[in-house]
Amino acid sequence: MAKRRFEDEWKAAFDGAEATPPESVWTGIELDLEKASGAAVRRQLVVYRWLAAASVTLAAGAGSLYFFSLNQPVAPEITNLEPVERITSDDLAKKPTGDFPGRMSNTESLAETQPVMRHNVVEVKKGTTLRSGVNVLVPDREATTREPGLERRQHRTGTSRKMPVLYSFRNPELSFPKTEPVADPGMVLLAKLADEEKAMNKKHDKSRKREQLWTSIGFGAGTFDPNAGTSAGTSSFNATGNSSAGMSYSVGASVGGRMGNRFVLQGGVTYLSQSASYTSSSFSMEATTAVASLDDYIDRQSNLVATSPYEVNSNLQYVSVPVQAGYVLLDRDFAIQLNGGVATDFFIQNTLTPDNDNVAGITQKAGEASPYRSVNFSGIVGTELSYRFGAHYRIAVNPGIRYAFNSIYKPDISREITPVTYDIALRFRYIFN
Amino acid sequence: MLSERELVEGCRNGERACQKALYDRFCKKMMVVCLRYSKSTMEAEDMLQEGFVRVFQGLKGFRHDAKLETWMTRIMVNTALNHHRKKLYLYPMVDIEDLDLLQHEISLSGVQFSQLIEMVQGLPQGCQVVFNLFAIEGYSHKEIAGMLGISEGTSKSQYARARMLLMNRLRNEGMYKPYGEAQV
Repeated sequence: MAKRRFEDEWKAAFDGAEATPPESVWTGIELDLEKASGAAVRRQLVVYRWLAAASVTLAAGAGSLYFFSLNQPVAPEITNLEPVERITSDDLAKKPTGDFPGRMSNTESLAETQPVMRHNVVEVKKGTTLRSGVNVLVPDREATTREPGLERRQHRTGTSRKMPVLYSFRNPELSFPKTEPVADPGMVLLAKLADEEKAMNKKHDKSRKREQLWTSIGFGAGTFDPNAGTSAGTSSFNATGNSSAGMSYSVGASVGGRMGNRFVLQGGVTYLSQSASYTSSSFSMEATTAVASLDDYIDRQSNLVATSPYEVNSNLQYVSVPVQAGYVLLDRDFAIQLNGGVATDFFIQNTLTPDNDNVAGITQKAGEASPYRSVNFSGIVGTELSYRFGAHYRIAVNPGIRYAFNSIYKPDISREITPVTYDIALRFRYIFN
Repeated sequence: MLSERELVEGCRNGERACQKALYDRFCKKMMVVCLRYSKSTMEAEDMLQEGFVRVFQGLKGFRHDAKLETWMTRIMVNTALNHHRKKLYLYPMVDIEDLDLLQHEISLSGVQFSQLIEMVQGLPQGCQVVFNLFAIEGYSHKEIAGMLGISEGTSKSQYARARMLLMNRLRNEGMYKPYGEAQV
């Protein structure tokens, strides 16, 4: 009987050996394969769920802001008011005749009050609800029933002339001076404030009209978390996750435009560089050279060899095309804008740099052989704080989050990497008009 | 009968018939691999199922630069190692004195396959894994140390222990006798 080395004999004993598994094993495999394909569909659905959630959040935010901007405090209800005459600037400019105590000799001053009065005057009818701060004109006859002061004055003069009087809720009673015919200082102040407000609105309108179209360049930096997880199976070399958070850099240009009073749309092109460190316990044998590899590649590379753990820096590079909708919360020289959108990321290459002298680095381009998807989709949400420092220039700081909707690995890799990036970008904007 | 390349291509396209054909062609050999790394037939079946799922998912990356059977065996071994990693902490492997490292010449030709499997499955967990990786798969102790996260010395001592246990078992069963004695 031939005798061999212990190891050779055992190896030979199992060479070509066969054992028939039960039929239930194949049934189980089929079920697992079905589950895996279902999981792929679910991953696609997650993308749409994210998009829907982002849209709802944006719409809810915008809706809330709109609602609160309209929801002003309401004055107590006033009912049973009679129809009134409407005061005009002519009425105010008209010099009162007779011995009406409220006459004003200074028509210039009266004219100054016109904008305020015209602005705040409304006609009211019975049952109408009024807001505070609105001045209401009522006929003097009616006014006497509500204004004791005016009633007293009319009794003294005994006049029956129909002169419009002013009635203002909350404001102190408007009484006309009896002696020196000068303009009411309160009315003058209100008029001045109104003028200032009008001027500011005009200026604001002008500046808003100018910011209809702009372009910007900028760069950003932040943290990059590979956010590793597993899907259907786990890597044979490392089942527990071995990546650590790294850095992300971006530089790009964009174009934006105003789509409405508060909404903007902007898009552009950005170069992205994302780096993270991994602990690998494998390398790939290329001819006679040991080349760095990540354990995650086990499902795609048949030439992986196990080795002692070593550190690998993985640098991913993308060209990203973001499209974002924005809502302008504050539209002044200092502006605040909320942005949300989707970015299409085109994979350029991945460079593995090992921290091991015996293992060579490698750069993998996009393509069939690459374990990375050529196109990825990410959600981007952020805030833009900007300041306008000239007729055509605005500088902005954008803190934001970028979240990958899908794993950057191809579906045949059981490991999932869905990076999350928190970054701050500095942008310089040129305004065309 | 489809060639290996045709089967691989069909599997890549998700054709269930090709997947079944590939399974039928290799399941018996892969079952043996799983039996060697498991403690029971049921555990081996679980490994086989998980291993084949991984094979079908990983076939897109198979580049035919190795034999398909070799590649599949590696997947099965890796799957088995994953199973063991979950349990190995329960059976800590410690360095022991090198035991009986002398070479032995033996013959297993008279031993039934089921007995061989039973002997391997009867080894302690750590010894079983190291024995399979070193004696059957042909990995070096350095590679085994890297794969299992243990020291090279631990791998060597575990293998020495495995060999001693197997030799004792063969001797007790009358399947092996030292030089000078008649072999069974």
